[in-house]
Amino acid sequence: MKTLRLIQLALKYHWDAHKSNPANLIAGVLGMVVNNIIVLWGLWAMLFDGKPDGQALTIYFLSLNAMITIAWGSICYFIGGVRSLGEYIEEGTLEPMLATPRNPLVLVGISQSITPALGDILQGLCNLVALFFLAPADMVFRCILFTFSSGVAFLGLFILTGSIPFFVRRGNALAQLLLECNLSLSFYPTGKIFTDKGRFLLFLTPAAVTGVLPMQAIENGHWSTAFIAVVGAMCFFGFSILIFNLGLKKYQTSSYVSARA
Amino acid sequence: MTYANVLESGRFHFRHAWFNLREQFSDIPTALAANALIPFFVWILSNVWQRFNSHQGNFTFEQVIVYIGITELLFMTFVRAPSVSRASGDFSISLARPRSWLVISFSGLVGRSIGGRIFMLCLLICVFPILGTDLAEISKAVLRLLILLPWLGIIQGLFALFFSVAQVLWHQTNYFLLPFGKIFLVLGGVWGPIADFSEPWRKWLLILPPSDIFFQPAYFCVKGNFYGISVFEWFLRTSFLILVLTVINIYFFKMAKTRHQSYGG
Repeated sequence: MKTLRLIQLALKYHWDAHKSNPANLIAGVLGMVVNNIIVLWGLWAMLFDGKPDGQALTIYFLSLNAMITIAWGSICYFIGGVRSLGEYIEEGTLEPMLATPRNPLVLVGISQSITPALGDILQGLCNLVALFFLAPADMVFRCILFTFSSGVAFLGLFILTGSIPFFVRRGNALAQLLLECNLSLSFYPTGKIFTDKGRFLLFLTPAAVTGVLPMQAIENGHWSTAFIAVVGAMCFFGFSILIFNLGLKKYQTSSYVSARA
Repeated sequence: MTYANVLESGRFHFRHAWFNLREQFSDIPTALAANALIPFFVWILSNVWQRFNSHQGNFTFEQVIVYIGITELLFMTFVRAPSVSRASGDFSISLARPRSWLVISFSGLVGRSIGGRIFMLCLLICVFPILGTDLAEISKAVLRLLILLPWLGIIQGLFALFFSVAQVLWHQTNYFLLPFGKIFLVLGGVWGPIADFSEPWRKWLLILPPSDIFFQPAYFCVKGNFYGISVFEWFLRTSFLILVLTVINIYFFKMAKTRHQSYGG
C-alpha cells in the first residue's frame, strides 16, 4: 500500500514537472502521436492496403499496434526509470537507491517519467476505438486484456536488458541494442512473416512474450494460447527479477560523484 | 570579394568537409556499435517485403536486400540530432569569426554525411553476401551509389542545416526531429519500395520530395534507372529542392542572426 502511495506521489511530482513547461509537453506528446500515425499509416499502405486478405491483416496490425503502443507507453510513462536502469548501473546512480529500505526496482521505476510516452498511450487508445468499429467486440476485449500481459513482459524486458551492465562492462549500449531489436520484432507483424525454423527462433526471443504470443491469443481466442501468453509473460518477468537480484549481489559500483564528474 | 578570396574560401570549405568526412573513420568501434542494428533492420524488412509484397514481382529478394540496405544507409545518415547540435553549437563563437557560419556548417554537415555514408556502405558490403546477395549485384549497386553520393550529400546537408538554423532560432527543435525523420522514412520508401505501394498512394508518394532522395536513388542503384522518370528529370527535381532549401536556409539564418540570444558565460 505504501509503495502504491509512493508511486502515486512520484507520478504527481512528474506531472507537475511536465506541466511547468507546457510547450515541451505538447511538443513531446504531439510529436510522438504524429510519429506513430505516420508509422502506422506507412506500414498499412505498404503492406496491407489493396492486398489479398488486406481487411483481416489490417485488423491484426491495428490490434498489434494498440497492444504494443499502450504497453510500451504505459511502462515508459508511469515507471519510465526502468528504461534507464542500465545507465544508472553504469553511472553509479543506482547506489543511493540501494541505501533505502524500499525495493530498488520501484525506486528506479519512479525516478523518471518519459513525456512522449503519453503520445504512445493516446495512439494506442485511438487504435482501440478504431478496432471497436472494425473488429468483433470479443477481439477488442482480448486486445485490452493482453495489453497487460504485454506490459508485464516489456517491464521484464527493461529489467533484463537493464541488468546487462551488472555482468558486462559498459553493457548499456548492448542493452539498448537488444531492446531496439526486440521492439522491432514485436512491432512488425513478425507473427505473420516467419514460419518453421524462423518462427521457432522467434519464440526464443523476448518478442514471443511481448508481441507474438499475446497477439496469437488475441487473434484466435483459444484458452490454451491465452494461458501460454500470460504464463510466459509472468515467467519472463520473474526471470528478469531473478537476474537483476543476481546482478545486484555482485554489483561493484563506481563512485556516483566521480562518474558524474 | 575577389576571385582569390573565393578560391581561398572554397579551398577552406573543401578541407573542412574533408576533415569532417575523415572524422567518421576516427573511432571505428563506436561507429560499428552505432550502426550494429542496420543489418538486422535490412534482414527483417526484407523478410517483411517477401511475405507481403514479393508476389507483385517488381523486385527479386536479392534486389530488395540491396534496396533496403541503401535506403537505410541514406536514412540513418539523414538529419541526425548530434550533427544538428554540433553545427548550431558553434553559432555564438562564429559571430566573432570572419567566415560565414552558414557555409562552415554546411560544409561540415556535407562532409559528415558523405563520410558516414561511405562507412555504412563498407559495412553493408560485408553484410550483403551474408544476407544472400551475390557480388555482381552488390558491386553494380555500390558503383551507382558512389556516383550519386556527392549530390545526395548536398541535399542532406541543406536539410540538416535547416534544423541547425532552426535550433539557433528557437533553441529547442529536438521534438520535431522525430516526426520529421519518420515522415521521410515512411514517405521516402525506406521500409520498402514505393513501386510496391497500392494506388493512389504510389502516385502521390512519387510526387513528394522524400521519394527523390530515398526511393529514386535506391531504385537507381538496384535497377540502373529511375522509376518512371528520366535521369534529367530527377536531376531537375532535386535541383529545385536544393534551390528551395538554400533560400529557406538563408532567410532563416538572417532571422536567427537578429533574434539569437546566447546564454552562458
